[in-house]
Amino acid sequence: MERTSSGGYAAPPMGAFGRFLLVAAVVFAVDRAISFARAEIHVSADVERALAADLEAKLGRAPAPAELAGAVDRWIDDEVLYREAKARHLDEGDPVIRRRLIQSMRVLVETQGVPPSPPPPPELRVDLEHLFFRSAPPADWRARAERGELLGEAFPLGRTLTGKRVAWLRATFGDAFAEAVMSAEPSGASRTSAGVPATRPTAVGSSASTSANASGAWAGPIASPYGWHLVRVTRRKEAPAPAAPSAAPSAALALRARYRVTRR
Amino acid sequence: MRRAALLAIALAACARGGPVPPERTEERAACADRNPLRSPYFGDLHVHTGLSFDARANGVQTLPRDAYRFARGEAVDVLPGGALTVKLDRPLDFAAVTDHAELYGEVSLCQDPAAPAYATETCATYRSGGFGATSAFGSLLGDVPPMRLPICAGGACAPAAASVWRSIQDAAEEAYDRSSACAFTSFVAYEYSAAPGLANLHRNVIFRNAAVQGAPTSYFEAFTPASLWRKLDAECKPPCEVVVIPHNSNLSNGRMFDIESAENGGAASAELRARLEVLVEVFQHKGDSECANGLMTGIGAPDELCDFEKIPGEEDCGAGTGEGGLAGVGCWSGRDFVRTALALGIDHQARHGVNPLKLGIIASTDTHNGTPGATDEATYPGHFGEGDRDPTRRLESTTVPPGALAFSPGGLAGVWAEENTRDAIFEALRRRETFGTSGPRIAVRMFAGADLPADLCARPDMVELGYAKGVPMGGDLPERGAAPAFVVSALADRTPLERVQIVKGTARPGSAPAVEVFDLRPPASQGFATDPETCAASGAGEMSTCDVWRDPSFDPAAHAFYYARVVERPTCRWSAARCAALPPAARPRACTGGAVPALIRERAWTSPVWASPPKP
Repeated sequence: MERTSSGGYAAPPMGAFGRFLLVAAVVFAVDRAISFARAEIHVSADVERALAADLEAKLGRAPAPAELAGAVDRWIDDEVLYREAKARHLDEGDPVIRRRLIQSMRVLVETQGVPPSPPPPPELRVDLEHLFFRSAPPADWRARAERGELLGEAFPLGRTLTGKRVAWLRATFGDAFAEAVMSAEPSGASRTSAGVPATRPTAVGSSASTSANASGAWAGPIASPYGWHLVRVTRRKEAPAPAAPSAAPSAALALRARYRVTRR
Repeated sequence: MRRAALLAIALAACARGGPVPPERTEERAACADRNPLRSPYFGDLHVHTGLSFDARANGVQTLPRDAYRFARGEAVDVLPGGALTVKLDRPLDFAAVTDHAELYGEVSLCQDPAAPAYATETCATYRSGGFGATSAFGSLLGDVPPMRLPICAGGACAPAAASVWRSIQDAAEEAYDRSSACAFTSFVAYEYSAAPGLANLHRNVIFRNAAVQGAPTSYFEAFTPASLWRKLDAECKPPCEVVVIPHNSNLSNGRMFDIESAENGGAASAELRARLEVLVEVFQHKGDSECANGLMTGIGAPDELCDFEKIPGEEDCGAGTGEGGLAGVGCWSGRDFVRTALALGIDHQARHGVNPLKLGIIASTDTHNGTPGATDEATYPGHFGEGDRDPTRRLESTTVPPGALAFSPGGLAGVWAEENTRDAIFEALRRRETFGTSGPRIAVRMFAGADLPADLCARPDMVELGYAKGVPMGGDLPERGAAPAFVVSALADRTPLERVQIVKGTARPGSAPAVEVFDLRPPASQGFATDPETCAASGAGEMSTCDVWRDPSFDPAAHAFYYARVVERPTCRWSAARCAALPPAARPRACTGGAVPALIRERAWTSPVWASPPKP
């Protein structure tokens, strides 16, 4: 290989053996890549039975083994072409395929009702107690809070917050508060009802004046828009996420409700 | 030791009058975040969609389903072709679509090419849209008595109206989150839109659950509010339950709170009204209805904070009434305002033994875009479709609705409830443990009681003690004759708080009712500021407040009400924000004309607590 140009470069000439090594390396790499990427086509017993039944209907007798093998081979060829076409998105925009899918979905809706939306993943909810202070709590807050001598001030939402979503904590008290709550060790049970580890291994790091806690201990002080909080997480668990709007009386309308229609 | 004492108090609260949990009237999952001591939820109980005659006439295409999607945080296209797309930055907790019940069928038929009515001149005029269409249909609701259009002859509109009513119920059901996440609550509802002589007597009718009237009661079926109450009483029996919420008393030409006429003045009518009309919408898109200065029948000394989002009448009604409020004409009256109504209510109770105006407080938007909760001043998209979507045109307009300079994004309804379910929120509405805001999500809580300790704000068990030793807002003080104390605790939204006040009204037989306003703390003036030219805010201020106040002039022989008003530091009104966004050369005259203030003080109002003298 030699390229020259002003400002370019000139490579040393390569001998025949060198070219052989290069080609061999490329062939080897391509073969490995193909073998690693090779997808499996599984001819199941159901497929074979269906092909045999199809042949029997056409021939008027049970197919011979060679006839069935030929049908299986053609099915594999078709499957390869189908997959390659799908990979190249040849189905998109094809009016025949669109019509066929519409028909299939209509039959499905009419015979089985509206398929449920995939359930949203569960979300984390937290139970916590907090002690509220309009100005920063005293320096010896930890010891006094542990002894139950430091009780905090009035807060209109109360001292105990139950089943709160992280997004709610973030919107109400700010990011530092939410992060501290998510990092705190719950008191009591260390696992949620769903069996998920109840805590994250990271410590609170949102503020130099904020300290993480041992299991069930008070954490803080955490600043919020309203003042300062000492926080003790009592439970963290996964719970169902909000339900999507439920099915409308009409099946088609119910499916349509899952879409936002725009026109230009 | 002190901790044990607090626990004992909390337990005692449960045993001696702590919050009573809501009755369960429907099948649904229990909420993951249920709080027996109640949490604040924000919603909008006054929402119109394209099913309302005036919204559709202004091109609005949203339907109840879209309004609920919007409330849950999704973007919606208000106008066709994506001409106006809106999205909330924070979802609401609850909402009720309250389309005008009067013309469901007519609007539907006029848009259905298969309907015989479609080809009529009436429908052609309606489909031409805009102010002409709004007036053509809207003027029907000002007639006395109202008459249906000829296109409805022979009951032709009834099937279409029934279909609309069904779709409203379906949309509410679909949007309601019955899972344990309790993310959103919807209510089946409608607006009763009587406006005899265009004096506004509108009411929103909110149902507790899916058990509702077979058909809504409109002005065509009930010519007076009293007849609405009677029809609801007859047609909504358990499991159907309902509350009725009057709104825009400010545009009623002195008529909304009538308790003296033959129709409203009788004991039966007063008791029925008191049972159904437990709330009033104090603020919305078409102005503030709390109080006004300088009107003959107003009560109390001038209050500078009453000069807020006013839509003044042409003259003072004096002791009489007028017409034309919804058209922006006619007189206005001191009796158009909630503060006066509350005073008239206790005065009526002092004289007749029943208070027909025992009104808790909420606010809402009255959006006609199907966009509940869109109350942000800086991004106000208008509330009337094509009619007011252009903010610069809105600045230049001095006309009546839709969309003049005097209108605003409206407010929000707040409730303190155990959980976000229909049962819990409806019971909060009915017991009046509610508040209204002019838009921001200020969470304000008030308890009252003679035995509330003076150091309540320094204690963490304020809520437990509030229920154990007092009553929450919306409640009645025990008839003990001792001077009550009040604790008012508030969390600001995004703007610091300026002041906390209590408005007190008193009445006793033989003397005129009176109103006083008390500052619970000196108004804040340092730290936070907003530049009226640029709308840039700077500095900081109080984001949470708690104050205890004991009535210094309590008269145990008088009837009284007390509500709290929590006021934010000044921020830019939507009009100033719009002006600031325009190049100086492009600003219309309203930007410098002073017709409306550049800065406003957003606020929250609690429901009142009432006090009555001991019975002899």
